[in-house]
Amino acid sequence: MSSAKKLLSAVDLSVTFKVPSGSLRAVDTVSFYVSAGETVAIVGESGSGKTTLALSLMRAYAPTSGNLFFEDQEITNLSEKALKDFRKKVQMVFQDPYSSLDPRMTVSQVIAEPLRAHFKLSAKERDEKAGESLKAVGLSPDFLNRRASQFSGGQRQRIAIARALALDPKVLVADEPVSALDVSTQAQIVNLLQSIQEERNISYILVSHDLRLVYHLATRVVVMYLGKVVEEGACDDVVANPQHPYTAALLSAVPALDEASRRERIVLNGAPPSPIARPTGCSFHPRCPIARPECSTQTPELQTMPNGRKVACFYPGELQPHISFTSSK
Amino acid sequence: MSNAIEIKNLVVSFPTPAGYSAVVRGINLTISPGDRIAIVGESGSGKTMMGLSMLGIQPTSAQVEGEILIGDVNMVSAPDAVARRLRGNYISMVFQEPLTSLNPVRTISSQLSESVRRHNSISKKEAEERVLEVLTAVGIPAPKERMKSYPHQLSGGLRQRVMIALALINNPQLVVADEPTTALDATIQAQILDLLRSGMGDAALMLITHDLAVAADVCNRIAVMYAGNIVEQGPVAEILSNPKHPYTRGLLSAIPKFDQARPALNPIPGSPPTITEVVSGCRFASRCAYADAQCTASEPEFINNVACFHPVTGAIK
Repeated sequence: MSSAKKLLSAVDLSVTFKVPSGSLRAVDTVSFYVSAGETVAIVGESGSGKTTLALSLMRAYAPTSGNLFFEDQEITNLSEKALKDFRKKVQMVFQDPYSSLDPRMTVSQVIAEPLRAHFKLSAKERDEKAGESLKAVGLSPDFLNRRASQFSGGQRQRIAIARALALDPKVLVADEPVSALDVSTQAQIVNLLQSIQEERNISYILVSHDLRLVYHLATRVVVMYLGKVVEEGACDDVVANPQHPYTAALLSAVPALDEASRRERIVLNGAPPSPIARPTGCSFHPRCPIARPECSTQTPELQTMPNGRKVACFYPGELQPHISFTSSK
Repeated sequence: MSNAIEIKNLVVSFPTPAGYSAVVRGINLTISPGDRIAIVGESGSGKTMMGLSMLGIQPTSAQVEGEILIGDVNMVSAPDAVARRLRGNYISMVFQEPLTSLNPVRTISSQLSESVRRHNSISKKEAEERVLEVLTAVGIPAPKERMKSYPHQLSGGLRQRVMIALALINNPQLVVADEPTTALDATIQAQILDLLRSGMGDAALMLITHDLAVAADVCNRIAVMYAGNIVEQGPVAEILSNPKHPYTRGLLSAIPKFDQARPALNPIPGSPPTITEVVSGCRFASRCAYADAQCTASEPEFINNVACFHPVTGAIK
């Protein structure tokens, strides 16, 4: 276990939504933490609860049960007024900068809006801060008076990041921050996120389906399936030696530039089941290539292994994907 | 017939306040029977417009010039009746989002048999047999039951299999698939990529994608498009290990890899020109590290599989 202090954490967090046929447990008893300056990635497919987990860590959803902590303070049931400081320190960058920025607002209005909500500043001071924020994301302060609609996708995502940075947050939640962008501009944003983290020691919670990106950016990774954490550990470790068969299959599914990864691909049957009709036993057993009879009757708990890895599987490490690591050094 | 399709000097333009602007700017491409070629490009590169015009289903405001030859028929100038006979029969298409491409109020069986019966004079029963056969071939479990389903009753992966079945049902020579896995989850994408790689029978495949890894995964040949032109083309191994065009090299060094050293990514600076932007010379020059005076003075021709005055050699560092 890392000795770094937990900055934002959740203990046994569950989020349940009411649906016509009953209730849908989108996040099921998940414990999570992020320490100062680290990047934790949450990976999984649609319906895995990764975005719901990220949003409930921000208290955008009220947790149904469990506890949330930020800087040693419990924030699970704090009123919106008492949360004001927390809101300032935990900011978000969304996937699609075409819908997360109001096209009619000027860049200065976009970035000044959170400043206006949290600080008493004169218009001039706000503009100055907005200009600084723009510079921090590699854009010229001259852009302040243009409208968001005049920018390309990559520039818009920079503006969205500038808006989040304007409040000097300690945690940035980035939900698929580059997947709406073109390949050639994705790398610009990835590098920008890295340099911002180095300069400011911000923690990132990265929600992504792109495991190559996760490997590149994250220190730790949390793998979710049907609302539950099935594996968690240091990113290097999880990718090099996945313990859960679902993690192995996800890694193996990454489109490969080399022949061998393709030949030895683990292809799962079917699709993830609906969280409303959760399979008995291990949720993954109907698709699992190594499932045994007991997997459909007993539920594996998330166990901590000696090296700090956590895995919820009766047969950890049995299924291994072929991944071609490259080495630039 | 020697080629599945032959494209000569294809230009697709749209009206803008400044007159017609081309999104496809003179493409030449030949696809042989059984070929699997990927068209890789960013948004706005013209890859989708090229695909749509190959079937003659481009937006009505588009102006298409050049030749798209299927046998002795030129799709650009062919009468509607002729184009319609080839479409779905000789050349077919798989779209990105199967839920919007399938009719929500008709069963899978009725949509697929319509396509069979439109092109063949066979009975309803024979058509349904063919539907069952092709649904089985694309790996749909319990195909007999699935035939009676409506699209919304299927998962995203199954719907995309139905789309592929619809494309294959008349044994076409060429299937154009436009970002067929972009809307799918990782493990489902892997299933569909497998199907596209080895389940297409005798049909040639033209896969339109923004993702070089997806292209490499499925195809044996890659053509890279930039701002309306094919800038480089070649066998997959060649493009990946020894790309000649600075743009292709840029794309490859911009994607994160499973590299323990985690070297900083090398982004391509700037962004592609917009459709109305007037560019003199090579359209990539303003973003290119190798560009010189020649590159802004004139546009390089496509010679030896690359359109560049200064093709680069050697592996990417």
